[in-house]
Order: sequence, then structure tokens, then C-alpha cells
Amino acid sequence: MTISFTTQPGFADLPNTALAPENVSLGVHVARIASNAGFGISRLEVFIGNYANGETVPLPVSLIDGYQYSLDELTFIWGIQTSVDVPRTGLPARIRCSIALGSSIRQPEP
Amino acid sequence: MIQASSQFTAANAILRKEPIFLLTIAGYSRAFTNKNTGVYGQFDWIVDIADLANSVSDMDGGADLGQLVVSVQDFQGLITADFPGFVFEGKQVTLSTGFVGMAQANFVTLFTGVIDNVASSNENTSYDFTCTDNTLRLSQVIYTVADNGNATDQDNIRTLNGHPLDILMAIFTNELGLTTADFNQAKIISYRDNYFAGAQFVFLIDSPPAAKDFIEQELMKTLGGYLWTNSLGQLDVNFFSVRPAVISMTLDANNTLGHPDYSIPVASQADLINTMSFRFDKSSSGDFNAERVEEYDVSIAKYGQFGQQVVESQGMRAGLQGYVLGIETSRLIFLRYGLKQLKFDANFNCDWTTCVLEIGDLVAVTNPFIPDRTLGVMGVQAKAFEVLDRSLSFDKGVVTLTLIEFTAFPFSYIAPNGKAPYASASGADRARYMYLCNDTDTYSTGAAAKTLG
Repeated sequence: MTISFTTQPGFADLPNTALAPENVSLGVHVARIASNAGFGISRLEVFIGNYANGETVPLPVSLIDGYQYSLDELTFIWGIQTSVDVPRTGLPARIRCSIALGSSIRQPEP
Repeated sequence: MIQASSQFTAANAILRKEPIFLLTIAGYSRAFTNKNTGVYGQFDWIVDIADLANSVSDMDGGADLGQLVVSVQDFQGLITADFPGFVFEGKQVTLSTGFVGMAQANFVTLFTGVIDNVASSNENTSYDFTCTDNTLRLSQVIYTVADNGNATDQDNIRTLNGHPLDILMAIFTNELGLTTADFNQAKIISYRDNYFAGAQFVFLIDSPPAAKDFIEQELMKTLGGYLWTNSLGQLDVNFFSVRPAVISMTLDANNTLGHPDYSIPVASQADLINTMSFRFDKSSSGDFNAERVEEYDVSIAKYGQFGQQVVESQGMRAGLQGYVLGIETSRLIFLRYGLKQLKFDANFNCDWTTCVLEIGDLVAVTNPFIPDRTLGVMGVQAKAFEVLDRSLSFDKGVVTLTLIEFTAFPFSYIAPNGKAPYASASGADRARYMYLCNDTDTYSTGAAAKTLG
């Protein structure tokens, strides 16, 4: 079953008192409940990977429903793990691995 | 509407009446009136009371209450003699009104504020007491201290995280030092816990704002409302939120002024707003990372014209249902300004019976000379309008109103446990409560389903 949202869901702590009997039945409260449900379904997903020089990070696929994310839906947070060329040979990238090194991450605008 | 006793309401309903105005200054031994009341300490030295105007900028989140200027005769130099022993400036002042023969306990308060200055007039035979409302307090700069105790700036952020109406009340009490009697706390709490239940804003403030600017731009405008000052001098709020059409007063031939002294109220149209842009999720670099554009299809299809309003909110967050709130506020604004609603722009003149109306009140207009564009006939019958601006002309006994057409909703209520389903419910329950319907928006009986407010 495919679920699509017209807006990005968020969370609001709607108190039970707002939905007490004899209160006016308001569309905005139903919208908040629906948004809370949507937020629970489509929560933030985090994907972790190690990549080496020359590689391109692939677009991830949701583990929840198999959704293929597009670039403009992603936020990248990166850091340098090691100066060793781990994924390839496990050997230092250079003889006498440097302690400090320059790096370049190219991240295209969506 | 200004709360009034049954005695005042009954006396006010009589067309022929003589209003008494009573000016009271806190801590001052004298009170001033326009008529001899025979009450000890009250002196009928009021020469003139200038018009008092209350104007609303509902799409900008605020309202302005003009200055109250009361000219009082300096009888035998007695006020002058009081100056060495009493400082008038800064004292609280109230202007109340009643009628000849009425106990003053039944008078209603038309204005509460503070004396700003006392100028001489009438060749120094009178004093003009110029009084302002509480909104002067709102010029104060707030959030001057950051989270870390330093002065708030780009390197020292002040964080706010909470319900926007809790933030509003915190500004009043913590930042401005007001007491709970200085603002309409019960009304704000009611909005917080009912219509706006669950709303949450997050602000990262890097420059201390003026309270008025912050409240109007970041809180009231974003939520679809405006801040104003009521007759008790309290800072008050009105929101566009859907509400039952509770009519405060009927404006008809009994209280609406016309020829020969006044013109027939001429109906104009409100400025069109059928496109709303909400920008939110403000980043630390100052950019808005989220935007929602809402269009009112019915209006666009009908007129082929566009009128846009932009709201940039530093506190709304997508992760805290910013989209839901943006859509809801847009809908409410469309209901108010999306269909070129009828508007009487400061030209609806009424007699003094209507002096108890306040901005935000709903009135029913019945007038045979105003065209009803919905029915295509001349004359409106009990058509609901909301009071926007209000001007009191004390010397003429005239109240001039700005009115805008009000869209009423058929309200339903949440049913308690034990109520029967729609098909077997009583007629009274069917009328009162909300029921689930099928995909075709009908109940199992075939009746059309109700709509949510």
C-alpha cells in the first residue's frame, strides 16, 4: 500500500483535554492527529557508510517501505574516519600514513 | 463586548438618554465628570472629550488605541493648586460611563490607561489630560540576555522553545514585568489549550527585538490574530479561528444613523487575499529552509485575480507541524479575505447604544439600503459582521465602526461515550454531535455528513 503525504508531517503533543467530549470538533485537531500519525510512519531515517577517495555515495533506499530517496531529500553529515585506504587495500594511502591530511568532499546542490 | 450590568443594558437600550462620563485618576482626590453627580469628590469640570479611535491592522498582528484627551476646566485654579502635591503623569486613569439617575456601580469602563502628559489649554483656563494605553510598554527591548548569560548577539543565542501563547505570556510577565491583571490571561489560556493545543515554536534569537515587533510579527501574525487593548486596559488577543456566530448586538434602524445627518453606510470590498506564503524553519544563517504556498482555488477560479500575503516565521518548525499550522492559518485568512467580503470602512455610524461594542465583536446588520450580493437583492437581513475599528465621539454620542463580513460555521461537538450511532441517534444528538461518515461524505441514512469546524 502506498501512502503519500501532501505536506511534511511533524509532531505536536495534542493533549487529551482538547478532544474531550462536548468540545467543538475542530478540523485543525484532526489535522494534527493525522500529522502525528504521518510523522510516526515516515520518521527520520539515518544511513551510514564508509567511502574512499573517488567513490560516490549512492542514493539510499528506505528500510521501511523501499522508497528510493532523491538528493533533495537528504542531508549529509560527514567526517574523516581514517587516512588509511581501508575499503581498498587496508594499507596506508601513502607510505608513512600522514597524521594530518587535506581532503575534499564534493557535494552537488540538489 | 464590554461587560455591563442588566441595569446599564436596560438604560442603554433606551434611545433618549443622557450619558455621564466619569474620569477617575488613581490616588487623586478629585474625579471629573461632565454632569453634576452630587457625589462627594466628583466635579463636573469636564469641558470636552476628544474622539477615541481604536484601529486594527489584523493582517499585521496588531491594533492601535488612540490617545484619550480629556479637557478639564481649572475651576478657581483648584487643579493648579493640586500640582505641587500630586504628580498626574504616569497615574492610571479610567473613563467610565453611565446615565443620569443610574447608580455609579453600574457604570461601564470605556477606557483604562495612564496619563502621559497634562497640557494647559483654553488660554490656560483648562488642562488637557492626554492618556495612553498599555501598549507603550511594548516598545521595550526583550530577550537581551542569552542562554549563557551574556548579552544576546550572533555569538550568544537566546533559545525559546514552547507553545507560542506560553511564550506570549512569558513576554508579558518575565520580560515586561506585567502582572496577570495587565493582560487577558484567561482568554489566552483558552486559546492555548483549545484551538491552538499542541502548537510549538522554537526561536533562536541572535538580536534582541522590541516586544511589540516580536509579538505582532512572530506570534500574532503567524497564528492568524492580532494584539489589542481592551476597555480595562488589558493587552488582549483576537484570532481568526473558527468560532460560533455569537452575535453581540443587532445593528438596525433602532441604532444605525442615516439621513439627514449621516450618510447611508456604503459597502466596499475587502482587499483580496487568496494566496498565502508561509516561510519557516529558519536556519542559523538566516535562511528559511521551508516554504508552503497555499492558494484558495475557489477564489482564483471565481475572480481570476491574485492577492498574496507573506508570513516569515522564525519560530515555526516543519518537524513541529509547521506545515499544518501554515495551512490552517491560510484557510482562516481565505475565509476572511478570500472572497472580496463586504466591508464598511469606518463609515458605519451608530448611536451611543453601541458604545459597549469592542473590536472582534460580532454584530448582525439589518439594513434595507445595503445590497445583499449573495441573494442579489437590495437590503441585508441579520447579516453577520465583525467589528474591526471603533471610534467613540463623546460630544456627538456617535460610534463609528469598521465592519467586515463574517463567515459563520455550523459547529458540531465531540460526543461523549455511550451515544448512539447516527442512524439511531435522537434528533437533538444528530444536531449537536459529529459522526463519522462514508467515502461519499454521507451517513448511512443518506443524509449529508457534517463538516468539521
